[in-house]
Amino acid sequence: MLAGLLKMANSETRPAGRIWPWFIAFLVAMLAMGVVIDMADIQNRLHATALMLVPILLLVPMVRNAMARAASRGEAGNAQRAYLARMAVVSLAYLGSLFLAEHIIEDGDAMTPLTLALALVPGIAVAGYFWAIGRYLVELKDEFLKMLMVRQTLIATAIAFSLASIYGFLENFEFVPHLDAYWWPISFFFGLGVGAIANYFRYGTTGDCA
Amino acid sequence: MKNRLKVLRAERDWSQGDLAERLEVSRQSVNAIETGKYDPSLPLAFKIAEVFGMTIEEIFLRE
Repeated sequence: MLAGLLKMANSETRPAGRIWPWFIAFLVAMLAMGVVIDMADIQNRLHATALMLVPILLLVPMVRNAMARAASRGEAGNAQRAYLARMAVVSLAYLGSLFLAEHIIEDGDAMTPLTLALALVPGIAVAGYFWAIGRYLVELKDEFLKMLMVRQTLIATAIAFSLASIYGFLENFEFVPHLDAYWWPISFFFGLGVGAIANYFRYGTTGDCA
Repeated sequence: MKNRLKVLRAERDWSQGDLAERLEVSRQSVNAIETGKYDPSLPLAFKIAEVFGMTIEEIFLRE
């Protein structure tokens, strides 16, 4: 699948559309869907997960535009195209495995080899995002863009670990409710956005993978 | 570090994209170097010098 996506990305020749409007639309749609799920009092996790997939569809044109933009840069855009393709594959694996796990595992189910394997896969898929970022840094030849991505990643790591540390102690003293640990990678991805903004103010560009 | 990239580029009527293509880097890199926001590595500085047919010292100036 990765090879297919890479092939598609390499043969992409259509003009590059805008990326940010799709990303903003995605964030707004995610927020709106969250409100809808809350107001409609949808308790079934499978139904809630299925509804959250709808705004995620807005990322498809965003990724296509980003790939077209990378393709327009020829050889210099190879690392970005590979990065986007890997992110797309990892996202599909994550969403598919999460949907499957939510469908099969009920709250309170006993741990069996099957349920354990199903519960492990979404987390491993999220680890795939970090693998994709690592490969991007290895494959990227442009030293300036590489420096921007390293800065972005360090800022994201600092934000995620800081938030986890602060919240962890607050939770330890029972001042805040329990928070599932998968929120820390989510805070890392939020941190990547902060890192991109920091890069923009310092260097006038967010780099390739904002 | 100051540099004469913008002037040298203008003398040859090259856009930032043209220079980026010759250096095999992104246009953002050229812009960041040109505006003094980023100092290139020694290998990239040598490549820039080679593209303009000059020495590094003729392009990059100490503050």
